[in-house]
Amino acid sequence: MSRVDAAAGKGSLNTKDGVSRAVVAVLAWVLALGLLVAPVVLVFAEALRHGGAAALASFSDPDAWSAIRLTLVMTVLAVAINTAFGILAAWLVTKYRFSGRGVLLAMIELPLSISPVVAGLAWVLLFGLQGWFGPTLARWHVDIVFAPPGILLATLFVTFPYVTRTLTPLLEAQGAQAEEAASVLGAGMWSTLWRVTLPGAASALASGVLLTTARALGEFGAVSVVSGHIPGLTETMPLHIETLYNGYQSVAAFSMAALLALFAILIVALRGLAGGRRPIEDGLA
Amino acid sequence: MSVRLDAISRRNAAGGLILDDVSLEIETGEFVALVGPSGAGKTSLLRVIAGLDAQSGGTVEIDGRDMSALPARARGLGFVFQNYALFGHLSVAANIAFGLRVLPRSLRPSRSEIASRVDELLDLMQLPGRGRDFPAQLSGGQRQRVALARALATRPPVLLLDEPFGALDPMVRKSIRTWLRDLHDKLGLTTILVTHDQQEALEIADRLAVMADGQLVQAGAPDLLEARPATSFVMDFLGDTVRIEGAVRGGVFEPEPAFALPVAVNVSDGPATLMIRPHDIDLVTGPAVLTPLATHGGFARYRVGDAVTVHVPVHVADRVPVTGAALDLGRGHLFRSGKSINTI
Ligand SMILES: Nc1ncnc2c1ncn2[C@@H]1O[C@H](COP(=O)(O)OP(=O)(O)OP(=O)(O)O)[C@@H](O)[C@H]1O
Ligand SMILES: [Mg+2]
Repeated sequence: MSRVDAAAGKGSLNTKDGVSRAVVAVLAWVLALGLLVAPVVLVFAEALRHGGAAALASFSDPDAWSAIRLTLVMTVLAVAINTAFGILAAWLVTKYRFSGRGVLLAMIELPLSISPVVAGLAWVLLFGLQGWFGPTLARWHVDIVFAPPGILLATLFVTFPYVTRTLTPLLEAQGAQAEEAASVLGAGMWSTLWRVTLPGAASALASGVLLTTARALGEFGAVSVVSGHIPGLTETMPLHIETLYNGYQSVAAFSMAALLALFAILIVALRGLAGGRRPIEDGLA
Repeated sequence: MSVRLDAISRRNAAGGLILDDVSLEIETGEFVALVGPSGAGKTSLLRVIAGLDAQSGGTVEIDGRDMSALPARARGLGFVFQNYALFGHLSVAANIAFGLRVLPRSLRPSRSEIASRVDELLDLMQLPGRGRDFPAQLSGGQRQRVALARALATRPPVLLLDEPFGALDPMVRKSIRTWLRDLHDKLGLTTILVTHDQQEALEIADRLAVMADGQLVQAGAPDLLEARPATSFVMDFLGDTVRIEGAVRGGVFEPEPAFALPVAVNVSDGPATLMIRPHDIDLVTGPAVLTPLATHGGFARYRVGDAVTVHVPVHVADRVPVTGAALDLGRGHLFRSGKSINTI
């Protein structure tokens, strides 16, 4: 008798639970569709307003091509450099206890809280014609500001934290045991990093690299300040989109925007793939 | 290869002594069991020998060479961790092959040699065909065997094992320890094994080294330790004991229970604990009630009074007083604050 009652009680609890769960789910979906998906769909719709041919035709403009090329080159460079530095930084702060470690950790996160525009201005102050190193650089005929190196610096600054941030907690959790096991088996520092530490943190690393890529592709503020907006030379895709839009070339602007959005979707998909694999428990067993 | 520890000490970050002046010589081919209560410093000592932790004082010599300046990877010792520390992202076979794959090119066996050595070890560990599995798919005992195989793959001359059989059931444990001892003899290894299991230590090792509070309390063959246990832990570790509190007054140990006879000793006055094996107690006529218990393993067992159990060999059981008994503790050992003060 009492058992039947208990079961009935549980049943009613479940339906009540189920209702509120459904409400939350619907709410989440409405928010996601309204705030995240709709804008992207609108961008594609605008791009295709005069048909696919018109959208594609907008890419035949040499300035458009140059923007795409510049963006891709900058992204590849920034991701490669920041992945290497990010791994080293994460490794350093997790494996060694040194004075100033806390300060270093906080500094790594600085780009997340500083406005990209401020970061861009800082580079201009340093390397611009009126800047600290400006005259010296001018004498050596090295262009940094209003040239691709400046864009790279700005992108590097903005995307620096992502690999370190995603990797550090995982390396902390991994602990020293696997690495100690590797070292008694004769593995050196690099061999251990390459064969044990990084594979153990592979999904976090992939996630960090993809976040870095996404941010590097889309960065506007910092790049805008250092680039000088020279079409065909220093305009990346986001900057070129703005130029087109301000020049009332709406189909071209939205086509470029749609392409950028496609890159982003690809990255999100890849990230889902990387994160969705069986997680490696903690690198130890 | 011989292992020589000379006055090893190690302090933790707070400055406390984890290892305190540990000296121990282990000859080539010797099998030493390192025992001691939890927190005694057994793992810490193995880690210093392996080069994972630096000692704060003293030297580690292997085969007559001072190892102090060499990092763990250059010492070439086999080490099995207390909690296996397998590489979760590598298959069982890749785990076992790891030490071979990271060898410098000039020393590294060919791919096919590595593969055949891995198969050999898998067979040896009774894990045939499990090479492609990942550590997460194995049971605790299987993981321990993989960890052992991984440590053996490079054929290290010295093997350091930190409770390698903790997760095995008693039957497998028994067979794997015989197997390990055979392997040790066959390969001419020098082995240090940490264990909590008295049976295991006695059965497998030539010599026991007993630690407590970071110090090496006593090292020696089991019969030596049995004859002259240096601490009450050694006595406890080696077998069943009966513990009788009391005090020494004027050359006589006076037990607290009334049914135990005083024992003549030559130690200074003060409180003392007498420890004795149940089968070393002789029963004489006295005041205590004797309750017979079940006979087990060739011993007739009696409860004396309400606490002490005495084991009497069956063939002398007819000499046991039936009216009432007292304990003759003449074959016991006396301890004060846990340390041996005299053999009676
Ligand atoms: N990394 C460390 N930092 C500070 N103290 C430590 C550290 N590792 C161990 N200790 C301390 O050193 C002492 C010895 O520890 P150890 O791990 O060597 O004991 P053990 O004999 O192996 O014990 P168990 O049988 O439980 O494994 C303990 O008191 C422990 O708290
Ligand atoms: Mg231990």
